[in-house]
Amino acid sequence: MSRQQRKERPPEPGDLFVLPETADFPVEWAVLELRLGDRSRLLAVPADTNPLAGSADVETLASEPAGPLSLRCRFGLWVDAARFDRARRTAVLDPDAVARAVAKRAEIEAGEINASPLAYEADADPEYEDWVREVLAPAHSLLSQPALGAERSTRAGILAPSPVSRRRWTSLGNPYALAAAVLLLVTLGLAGGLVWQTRTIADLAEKRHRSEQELQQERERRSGELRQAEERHRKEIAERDRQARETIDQDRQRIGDLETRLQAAGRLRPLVNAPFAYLAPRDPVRGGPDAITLPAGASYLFVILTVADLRSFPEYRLEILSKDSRKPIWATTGLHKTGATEVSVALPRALLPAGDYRLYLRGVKGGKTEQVGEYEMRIAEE
Amino acid sequence: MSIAGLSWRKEEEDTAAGARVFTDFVRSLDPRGEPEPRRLAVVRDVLRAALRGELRRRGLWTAPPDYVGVVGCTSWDEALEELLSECYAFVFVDRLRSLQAQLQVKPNIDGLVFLNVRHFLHERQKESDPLGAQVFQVLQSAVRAAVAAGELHVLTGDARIRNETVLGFSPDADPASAVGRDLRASAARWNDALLPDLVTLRGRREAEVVERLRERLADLRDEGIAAFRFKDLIDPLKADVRTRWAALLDHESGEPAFERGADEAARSVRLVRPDTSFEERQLYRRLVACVLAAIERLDVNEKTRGYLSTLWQFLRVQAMGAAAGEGRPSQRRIGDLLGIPRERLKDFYKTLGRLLEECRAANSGKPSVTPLPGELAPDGRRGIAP
Repeated sequence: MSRQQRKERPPEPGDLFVLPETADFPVEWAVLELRLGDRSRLLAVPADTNPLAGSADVETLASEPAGPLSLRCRFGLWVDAARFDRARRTAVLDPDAVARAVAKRAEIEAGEINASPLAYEADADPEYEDWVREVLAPAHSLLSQPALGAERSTRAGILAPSPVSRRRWTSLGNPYALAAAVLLLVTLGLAGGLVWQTRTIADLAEKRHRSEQELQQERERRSGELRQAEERHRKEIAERDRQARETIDQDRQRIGDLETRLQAAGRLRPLVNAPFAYLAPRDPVRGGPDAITLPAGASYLFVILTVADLRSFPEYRLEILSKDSRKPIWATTGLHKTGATEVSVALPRALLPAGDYRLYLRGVKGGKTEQVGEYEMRIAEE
Repeated sequence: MSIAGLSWRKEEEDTAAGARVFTDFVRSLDPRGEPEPRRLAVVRDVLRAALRGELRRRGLWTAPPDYVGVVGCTSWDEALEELLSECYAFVFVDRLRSLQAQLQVKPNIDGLVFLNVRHFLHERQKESDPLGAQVFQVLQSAVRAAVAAGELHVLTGDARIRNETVLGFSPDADPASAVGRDLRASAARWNDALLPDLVTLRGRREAEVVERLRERLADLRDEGIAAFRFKDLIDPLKADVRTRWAALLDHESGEPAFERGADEAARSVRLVRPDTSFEERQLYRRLVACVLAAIERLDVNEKTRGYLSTLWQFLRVQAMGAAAGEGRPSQRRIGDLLGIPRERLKDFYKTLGRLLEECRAANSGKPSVTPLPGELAPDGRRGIAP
């Protein structure tokens, strides 16, 4: 948009104007909103450079467009757009500043002002009180009066003498006619006055009606927004409740699992008839190993490996592989000799379905492993 | 509606006396160019005179330049030049657009420039001398309330209650009887009852202390005083508060400044006076406001909240005070002055330190507020560790 176009465009939210009506006060007027359904009415608030900013004001900083300014949102009023002379547009506010001011107006209207503690300190400052009393309140009062030009033209429209009646007056020639004419004129005057009064009353009634309608629309709009906000809020709360319930259920489930595991872990009972297997290192000259039959109720197979290698290792590692597939079944470290030549381990039965297995025992020392025994085991189901 | 009689306009008209120096200057200024040197020199002279006049009117001409944020100057001759440069920027740089805007509907804006000088000094005084400014504000509000209630009457001077305003307990009281009143004893007695609230109760709670001070005003009448000048009351009231504040830093008795354990906690809430740059002052204001708001939101009982708020306001005043950096106050005396149990001070410092850190993180990394550099190291003239 060129500078000329910008200059000629109608007033819009964010525009700052100086108005001749309030020229005696050090204020500009910031346009915040156009009225819904009637763009000829603008919501404007006074803006000035006094740095004291109270709880109902919005500050724009020196670094912002047109700043520094204090937008006095408590003193906003709806003004006819015609009163804003485009030639007296002085600057344009940052949209964010306009949004903050509109939000502040909403807070003021709702009676729930949310402001910085420092703003409340400014409210209590007598200098601020003086500024309100001596500048803002009278400037607001002046602008809330109808425009002088508009008033004059309205009156002119109503009170301008009709050229037809003047012609009738000059055409009368006798006293009766004159009296009748006077009477007629008075009657007409009274009738005119009555009409003017009726029109004025009608105008006022119409204005009142329009204002009521606007107020109703505004109320409905606010009420709609409020309902939407409430609905959003309700949904948000419901969603949060649902998530909280889910979390609680999950937590309960985990607690239940943990308790079950804890109970199971705590139930230590003696094992009876536990199957044992004594394995000696594989001898190539011997045939296959004897089958170990695991009873149906057995949960563990206790295996004792005889270590023929006389070297001593601080730790042993055991690996179990399926003999046929060579697939690793299980492995563990941290084994120690339980006697002079034995290493023992209890293997869960679930690990060992029926089949042939090969076991490798390795000694671990200084990070190195060396094989100390190879064993074979055959499991048979009962 | 006639507005010529409005007090702020009258004041400007009196001062401006029909001059157009500033108006012509603003008209001549080109935002993209430098001002014409000769015209600039004239404007600076007139602005200097305006500043001096406003300083006198506020009773600051006889006070240290620290009270308006000019530190390190021993005389007003030197301080005035620094203040003049900052005032020039406040009026003709930051607010030039607004002044030029007003020229569209006013033939003369010299009055507005004088008004801006007043705003500049008011803001500076509030920021740099929070102790004096707060006492003035509370007493002014109390006197205004008493006048509105018909308990006091303005006999002569500005009805908005300024230093020279003479007040009486009856509209017929003789203003001449106000001359030379010594109200120091009354001021000291009132401070016994009103401190620390006189300084630390602010914002929405300020009305409480205003009301208590208004009730005290009747004491003067009971003491046989029919009329008094506002300055004769505010000066001793401020002086007494300043003396009590200064006593916090007095270690003549050999008492240690810090008790064991409280020092670490106190160091974490060290608030440093900002320099005069706009950004630094804005950051400082944001931090102060942020901590105040955080205290309001804390999940603590009202008594604890009151203690925290009082301590924070105290630290704020200390940071900006003229005596900042000249010593470390005694924890015992802080507890006594603020009415806070000494054994709880350490916890309160810790809480405020945490809030301050959170507010610093939420605002900017610029160090308006910093921990002491070393173990209880005394620092420069612009910081104070409570």
